[in-house]
Amino acid sequence: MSAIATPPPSPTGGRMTAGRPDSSASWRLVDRAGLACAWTLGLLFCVIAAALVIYLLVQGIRYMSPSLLVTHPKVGYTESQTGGFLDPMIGTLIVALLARDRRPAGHGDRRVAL
Amino acid sequence: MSQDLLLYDDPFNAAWSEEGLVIDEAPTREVDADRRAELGLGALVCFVVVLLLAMLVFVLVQAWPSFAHNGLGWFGPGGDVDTQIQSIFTSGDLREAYQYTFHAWPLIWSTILTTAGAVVIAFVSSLFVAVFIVEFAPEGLRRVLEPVVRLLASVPSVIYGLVGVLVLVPFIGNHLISSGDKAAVTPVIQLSGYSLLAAVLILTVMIAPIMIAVFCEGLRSVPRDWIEGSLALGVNSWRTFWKVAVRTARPALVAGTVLATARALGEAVMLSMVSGSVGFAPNPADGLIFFVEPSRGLAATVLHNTEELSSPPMKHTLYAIAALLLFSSMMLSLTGWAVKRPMRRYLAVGGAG
Repeated sequence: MSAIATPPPSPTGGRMTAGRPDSSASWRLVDRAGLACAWTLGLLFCVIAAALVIYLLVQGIRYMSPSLLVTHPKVGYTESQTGGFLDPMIGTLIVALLARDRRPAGHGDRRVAL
Repeated sequence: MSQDLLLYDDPFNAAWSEEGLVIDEAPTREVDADRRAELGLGALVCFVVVLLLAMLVFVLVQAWPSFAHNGLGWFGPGGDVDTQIQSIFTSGDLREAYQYTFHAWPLIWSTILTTAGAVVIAFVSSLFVAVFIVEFAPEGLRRVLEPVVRLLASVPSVIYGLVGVLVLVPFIGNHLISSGDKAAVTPVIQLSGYSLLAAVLILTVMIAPIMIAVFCEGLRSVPRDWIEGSLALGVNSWRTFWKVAVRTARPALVAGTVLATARALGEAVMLSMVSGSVGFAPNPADGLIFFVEPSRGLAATVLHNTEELSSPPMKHTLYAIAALLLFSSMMLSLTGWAVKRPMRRYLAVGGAG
């Protein structure tokens, strides 16, 4: 519809600090502490995610072999007898495909201005 | 007025004549399609509402024997909750007179502690991270942070539970609990690292990405004019963003918090793995040991006992727990709605929400 219009893109990417020198040196101590806190927490989230991925990769890669991905599970007493996890993978894939895009109507839509 | 003012694609074939605006009321094919879509969506909404009501009624009917037998005592303390659950299961399994005595306070208290602790920590940290992502992070770091938040939000809870059991629980057990502490409480409980602290910390990491995503959307939709107005008055960018953007985005903050709290309330798998799975109410009067005491929440209790549903009284008791969780979620949604009502003036001018 012609009545719906999106705002023109800002030359600074919509951020007030982009391309503008706004030194925190002149800020109040509490503002500088807040900014430092934001930096710390932002970096902490990156560290947590990286630690999670690296830890699982390092722990899991020792037990991984390509055959595990393509063989069916079998009954057995030792690790070498119990086969791979092809069936659970297929099951997970089917569930994920069935659940794909089953989200509430309007969820994720961008707000537009009249 | 002139015809030039008609800027819309007009489905009603409106036209200006000497008599004024003339509207052809016969709907076009496009309007028909819209109407059909409206009716279809309306029917779908009604179906979902009926389904929800049916679920609510079903759960309440199934839960009633447990509530009726215990009255308000169901919500209070009294005796060992694990022993009570065992008696309830056994009475149904052995076809004896059904036993319904149940006092859920330790489970309710554990749910309150883990949810409240995680939500408070996650809210503060998510707000800082969202502000950082939206406004202060360098472009390169922002490009990393956004996928990181999505990654953390999409990790299954069982993986968080696994990492908790393999890393956090042994760390707490080995480094934060002394042998003296362990010996002091041995007659009552065992301190092994499976604790309230582990549950709260992992739950915080689980729910924070949901909050961050919603907060970021809210902060991004704050009108730039308002922020630039504040900057033009000489206020620094941190204070401007905090006082203008965050304040305007309060409805989004409420919405994100409600969503994250709902997830925390319903979390079962991770909590049953790291919280100790003991029907014990951690006591703040115990001092620092309080944080490392084991517990078990409501949702984790349902998960823990699903294999015992063959026993009728056990089934009714688990439904009663489910009814309490459902009621809590409903109250949470209502509270979120009530809190957002006074903030609607921001929405009226195109603010966040």
